[in-house]
Parts: sequence; C-alpha cells; structure tokens
Amino acid sequence: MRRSARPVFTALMGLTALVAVPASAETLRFPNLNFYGMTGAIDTPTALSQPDAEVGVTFSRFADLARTTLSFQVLPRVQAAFRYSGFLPMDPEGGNNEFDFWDRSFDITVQLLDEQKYLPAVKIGVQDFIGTGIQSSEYVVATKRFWGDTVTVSAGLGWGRLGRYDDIGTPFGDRPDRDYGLGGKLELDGLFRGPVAPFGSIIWRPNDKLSVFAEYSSDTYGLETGFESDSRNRMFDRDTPMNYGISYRFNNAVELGAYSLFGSEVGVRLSFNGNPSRPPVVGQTGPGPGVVAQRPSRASAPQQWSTGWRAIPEVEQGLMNQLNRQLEDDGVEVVAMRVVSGSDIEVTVRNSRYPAPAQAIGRVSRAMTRVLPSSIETFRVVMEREGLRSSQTILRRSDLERLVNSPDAAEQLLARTQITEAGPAPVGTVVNAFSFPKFSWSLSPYLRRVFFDPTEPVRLEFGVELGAEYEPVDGLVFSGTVAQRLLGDTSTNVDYRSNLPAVRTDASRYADESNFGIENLQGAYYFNITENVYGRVTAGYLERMFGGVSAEALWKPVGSKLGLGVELSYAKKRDYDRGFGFRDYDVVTGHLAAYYELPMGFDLQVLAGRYLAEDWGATVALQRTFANGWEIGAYATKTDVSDEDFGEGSFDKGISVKIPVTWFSGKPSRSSFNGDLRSLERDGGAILRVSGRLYNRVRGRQETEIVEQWGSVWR
Amino acid sequence: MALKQSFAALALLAVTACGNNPDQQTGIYYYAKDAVQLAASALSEPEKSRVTASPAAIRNAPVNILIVENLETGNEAGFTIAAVNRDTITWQSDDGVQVVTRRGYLIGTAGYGFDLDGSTISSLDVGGKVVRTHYRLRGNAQVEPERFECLQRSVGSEVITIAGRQFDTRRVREICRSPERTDIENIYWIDRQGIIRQSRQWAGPVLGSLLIKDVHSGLR
Repeated sequence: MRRSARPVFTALMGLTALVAVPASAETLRFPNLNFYGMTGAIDTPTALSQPDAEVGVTFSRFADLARTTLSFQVLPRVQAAFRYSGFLPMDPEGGNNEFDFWDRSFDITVQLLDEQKYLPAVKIGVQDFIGTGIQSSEYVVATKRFWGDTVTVSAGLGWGRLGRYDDIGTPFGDRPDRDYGLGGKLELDGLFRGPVAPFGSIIWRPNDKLSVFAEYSSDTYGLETGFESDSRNRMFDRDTPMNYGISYRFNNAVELGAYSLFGSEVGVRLSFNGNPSRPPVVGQTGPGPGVVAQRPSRASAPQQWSTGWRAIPEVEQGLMNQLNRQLEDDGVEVVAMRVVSGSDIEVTVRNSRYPAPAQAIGRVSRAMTRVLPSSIETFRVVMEREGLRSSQTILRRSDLERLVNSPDAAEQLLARTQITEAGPAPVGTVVNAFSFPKFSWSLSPYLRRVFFDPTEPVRLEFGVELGAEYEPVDGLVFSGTVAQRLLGDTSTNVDYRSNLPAVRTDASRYADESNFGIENLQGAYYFNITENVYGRVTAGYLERMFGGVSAEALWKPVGSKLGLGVELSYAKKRDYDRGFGFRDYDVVTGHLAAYYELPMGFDLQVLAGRYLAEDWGATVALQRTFANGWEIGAYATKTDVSDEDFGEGSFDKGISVKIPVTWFSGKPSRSSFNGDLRSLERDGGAILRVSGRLYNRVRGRQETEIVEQWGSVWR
Repeated sequence: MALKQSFAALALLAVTACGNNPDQQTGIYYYAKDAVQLAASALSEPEKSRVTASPAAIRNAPVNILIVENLETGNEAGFTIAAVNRDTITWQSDDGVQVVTRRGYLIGTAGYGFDLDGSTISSLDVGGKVVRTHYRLRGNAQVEPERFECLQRSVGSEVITIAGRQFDTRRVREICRSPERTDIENIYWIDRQGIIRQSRQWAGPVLGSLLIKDVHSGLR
C-alpha cells in the first residue's frame, strides 16, 4: 500500500528499487558428490556428509553410461538417493540383445562415526538395494581430512560392484544371483555377500572452488566391458583401476567436473545443490508491514476508549470494511467478525498470499491496531480457508504496542500469545457481506510430466489451463478447470496393462484422445463439524480419470500431533476424451488415515483401505517438512495384488518434492513447485485424486505451522 | 520438441497468464516469469535509484525525512516517518520498504530481503567496548540472535552537508565482531546537538551497510 500522502514529492525521493538483491558472496565448502551423485570422490564414496537437508541433482556421463541422481541428506548422518541410469545401449542380461536400457536405483548411506582429531569418519552404504540391482554394491568407508580441509583421504572395502577388482576374499559367503524379474522389490539377501575389495581416493582442495581427485576403484564394470565371463557388452575398455579428475564449484549451487576414467574414457559431472536453509532471499522483498498504531491513554482521550461503538448498527460490517481497506494490498481478507465483548473481537481471516500463517496473523493484527476502537484489548485471529476454521490465535493489543520494534519481539510476543481451537463459527459471527459470493478465475500455463517411460525417460507436455472458482457462501465451492495441450506429448505406445482393471495404466489414452478436456468440474462443501472435527463432501468430475462423490472427515485438534481421518468415495471412470461421459467401470473406494507429526519436521501418514482397482492395502508416507515450506518425502503402497498381477515395479512407490515459490523469488506467495517422482503408474494401489483433502488444508493453519514460522509475525 | 520453441512458449505463457486473483497462479507460471525477467535483466543493467528532489524541497518537506542509501546496491531513497512507537521510529520509502531507528541507531529493516528484525542499542562509549545483539530471520525460518562486541573510537571531526545544510560533526568509528564474523564497521557522524546526523550502519551479511542521513531530527 502506498501510504504516502504526497505522491508527487515522494516520486522525486527515489525508490529503493529492489530489482537486484545481492546474492550471498561466500562459497560454502561442502563435500564433493561423485558420479553416482552421492558424497564421494569420482566413482567411489567417501565417509563425509553433506549439510543437513542438502538436496543435490547430479548428471554424470562417461562411455555410454548416463546417470541422473537426486540425493537428499535426510538427517545429518543419513543420505539417500534416487537414480535413473541409462546404459546406452546395453544388454542387461549380458547377451547380444542391446537396447537403450534405463534403470532406477535407490541408495542409502549412514555415517556411523564423526571425524575426530585423530580418527576418521566412518560410513556404511548400500547402493541400488531396490529393483534390478544391476548397480548394487555395499561398502564401509573411512575418511580423514588433513590440513584443515585441504586434503581428504578415504579408504574403504566394497562388496558387489565394488568388490570385483583384486578382491581379498569372501568373508560372508557367496553373493546370490539377483533375479531381475519385475524389479521394484527390496533385495536384502545379498547384502555384504560375495568377494570384498579395497578402494580409496585422495582429494586435494586448494581453495573453496577447486577440487583435484585421484582414485583407485574396485569396480570392474564387468557387465559393461565384457570383463565378466558371460557378458558380451563392450561399452568401454577398463585399462586401469585409476581415475583422475578436477572439479570447479561456480557457486553454492553449481559444480562441474571433468575426469579421466579407467585409462580409456573421459567423463563429465554436473551437480546442482540446494538446501531449504539456504534460500536466495531470506525473508521477503516488497512492502513492509503496516504500522502498529499506538492508542492514546485512557486519561488523555476517554471518548476513544468508550464502548459506545457497540450501539452502532452493523458495526461489524463497518469495521470489516475498514480492515479490508487496510489489508487490500496484503492478500489477506477478513471474511467474518464477532464482537465477543466491548474489549474482545474475533476476526476470521483468509490468507491467500503469505506462506507463513504467522505473517498473515501479524499483518491482520497490525491493521486491527489501526482500525479498532481503543477499548478492544483482545484480538482473536481465526485462520480460515474455504469454510474450514483451523485455529484461533489470541493476542493482546497492549503486547503489540509494547513489543513492536523491540529487539527480540517475535519470541516475546509468542510467549504472550495463545493458539487454540476455532471450532464452528459461534453465534454472533457476522459474515462479511462483501466477501461472498466470491468468484475467481485464472489462465495459466501448465507443465505435465511423466517419468520413467522405458522409451523416453522424461515426457513433457505444455499447455494452458483455464480455471474458475465460485463460492456463493463460505465453504461451498464450485470449481472447474479445462486444459488445452499446446506442445509435447505425455502419451506413450508402450503397453502397460496389468491383470487388474485399467484404472491408471490407461493414463496415456487420456492424453492421447483429445488435446482439450475437462480436468475437473466439481462442487465441494468444507465445514467444521465440531471443535476438532472437519468435514468435506465433493461431487462431480473429481479428476482427469474419475468422477463421482467423495466424503471425508478429519479429527485434528489444533495442538495435537496426531490426526485421524476417514474417507469414502464412489468413483466412476471417465471417458478418454475428458468430456462429460463415463466408461463402464465404477468402484467404492476409501481409507482410514492416521497422521502423526514426528520430531525434526517429519510427518508420518498411514492410509489403509480399498484402492481404485478394488484392491485392499495400505500406504505409508514419510515426509520431512521444513519451516520454510520445503517438503521432501517418500511413499509406498502395498495392496493384496500379487507382484505378477501388479506388473513392473511390483508395488507403487515414489518420491515427492515441494518447493515454495517464495523460496526462489523472495516475494510472498502460497504457490509451490511440486515434483512427484513415482515409478510407472500402475493399477494396483492407485488412489483417487480428489482435490481439497482435509489434512493439508487444516494442518498448515494450526499450531505447529504457526509456531514454526512465528519468526515472520512482525514481517 | 525444439528447445527454442518451448522457451518461446514459456515466455508467451508468462506474459499472457492472467486472472482476477494474482495469488492464484501455478508454479510453472513463476518459473516462466523468472526466466523472462532474468533474460530481460541480462540485457539491461537496472538503473540505480537516486533522490532527485532539490535540497530545498527536501529541507522544506512537511514531514521528517531520512535519506538512505543501500551501499551494497547503490540505491538511494527518501524515507518518511510512518509511525512512532515508544522511542522507535519506522520510516518508509514510497515503495513500502522500511527502516526502523531508535535514537539514530538502525534497529530494523523490512522489505529489502535478508532484513534486520531487531536490535538492541548501546550508548556511545568512545574508547570503550559496547555490546549489541542483532536478531535476524535465518534461512531455516527461525529468528536467531547474533551478539556483537564493538570497540568505539573517535576519528576526528568533519563538516557534512545534508540537503544543503552544513553540520559540524564528530565522527565515531566502531569495529564489531561476533561469533559469526569480524570486522564489521559502523560510523556515526554526531552533530553538536548530540544527534546522529549521518551514519553508516551494518544491517546484515547480505543486505550490507546502509548510509543514513537524517534531514530533520532536532531541527523542527
């Protein structure tokens, strides 16, 4: 909001012009990533760890081997990775039947010991332990750094791939042959079995940017080079076990390396790093908050302290109008108000902009100091979204007046603030007459991604979508989206059919049959059933492939770490042209759900019930949510479908990443980039994609999120 | 799909995306918008903002003014009083960026990004050691303190000109260190009334230092 009364004069006063925010200049020193995208040297691991929560994306290539790895430092000692490797081309069985073979793999490493003054760090790692196991290896590695962090020396023992060259014996028995089969299953039988061989590396880092590597690798690449007796592949010649290389870190986000591998090949590696704790902009650029108005003392202005305002007809509407004028540019709207007493007012607030609910609460409270009569001392701010009143934050006006601009104001205000249940709107709540009906529309680009198609690892589709939403009364929402494909294609010719009803494997036909279609068109009602129980009923074209009716209830007290839910839906398969018609498959589906907030931002969800192909089973999802909105998680679903009936991948699993737009732009926004890396979408374990599930709508406005992001309350 | 073609499509989508609610856009919209902005900023250096009003106009303004230059970016703007809370003053530029001062000391900023959330202040103790704690929002969304110890010393006198008015000032230089960093420098130009007439104060590791000129305090 431009609060200046002297626009002409202020125009001459310049603007702070926030176009270019200076980037953090210092390059941080983190351990290198290797060709497998894990903490390591060139092709072997080291025992160091990345900073907590570090995310890396590494592209590496040598010979005809291409690897793309997403790595995540899950905990300070635990790193996990998901990798997509291309063998271009190769026969994975070692014969003459070569083709571009793409393989997914998962790794996990645990740093057992920290580096000490005289003792090295020690790490244990398992590579490619789910799926085909074509790249599987296990290792124990020790690393010690010398002269500060200038020279890093690592030595380890490897099994599997890393146990093939010049092995020193077979301590734990023979390694069973892996049955590649349909892939996707946990393969634990062979861990640390078979021959074991030493490997090692030295890294010299003369400064923060440059690294020079020398490595002795015990991986023979037998399958790829034909070294193994039964393999006929000749992707490259492995002349020596020695690898050399050099890498340069451009900044905290990009590192590029060039290497000589096995005496015959040249390889390159490009790594991108990011960390939820290292945003490009901390806090936000853009207008600061409105001011906190100081009340005159009761003695100096007794008339301003009178409660005579209560007698004014429709005083709530008048006050709401004034508040919303003040909040016009803040993306926050007061949708209802209740006068609790002459000194106590409750406002119900909808926040469509600030990622941190505390920031919305702060801006509303500040506006309340500017607008509300002096006699009002207690501010109750109810966070609401489309009918769901999720929490009530109670602040004292005199605390705001006393603490604004004081040194540790956020912490001190929190100590005096109460967060409690909101419950259904109490009697006496006046709904803002100008808030409803509410209509919004948007025309936006979209990007649809399909990963891991064997013939094309990434399929993209660009287009535009037109969305509209109509909310005649609080909580009743009619919405719809139509999409027009412009470029690219997510359809495929690969026949994915399983032995189950085709509920998801025919996804391609929905992309193929029509460039234009209805993505969803539905009516939904969201409401508080009781103080701690929320409800939702949705009907219509719920998603691209299904229409129907869905109902849900969620118990989630404002300060509780536990939430319990139940959902029941009747879904009917939509026609492939994404028009109004239906196919002749329908199903009653639903689940019981338990949600639990674990320490360190981990969120556990367990769903159990009946899935879209009438299969029964459960989904377990573990997600780490960071205070600034990043979410990184993994999930797996197993139902009573046999692996054979399920088909490739054996059961449904995937990784999800959510990065808030604010983290990049520094501008307040509730939008985010959502990435979902899932294995091929199968028919078993498929869940209805109804929008507006209650947990995500409620949790983000409750105590944990409000308190975690309280640092933004004065922003 | 040709890369060029898709970038053109992205650019087109970024500029054509619309709706009646600016807070409802897809992530890809922001991605496209950022890409377009990045390309645009690579083509032209943004012009630095300056205060262009005449010294007389600034001097005769009906409200108190601070002229603040962000020494990191070189942008300068006039800030007018937006609020007085107890002994703190919130100053605001026309684009809504704020600085907060208490007796001339910088105790907060808002809207720059990497802002200073709050700070204790310390009295001048030339030749002595003063302590000050900054509170800043960190990348992990928590406000964390940074405690500085500063050594102050007098570095002579200087006549300075602000909005055409001359002031005889004594200059106090302060070197601060914290567990996180050393060699943070602040300079205060203190006029005969004892008012910090001009100062160069450090606000944070990325935001850097602000050069603050106080046009009106103590002169109304």
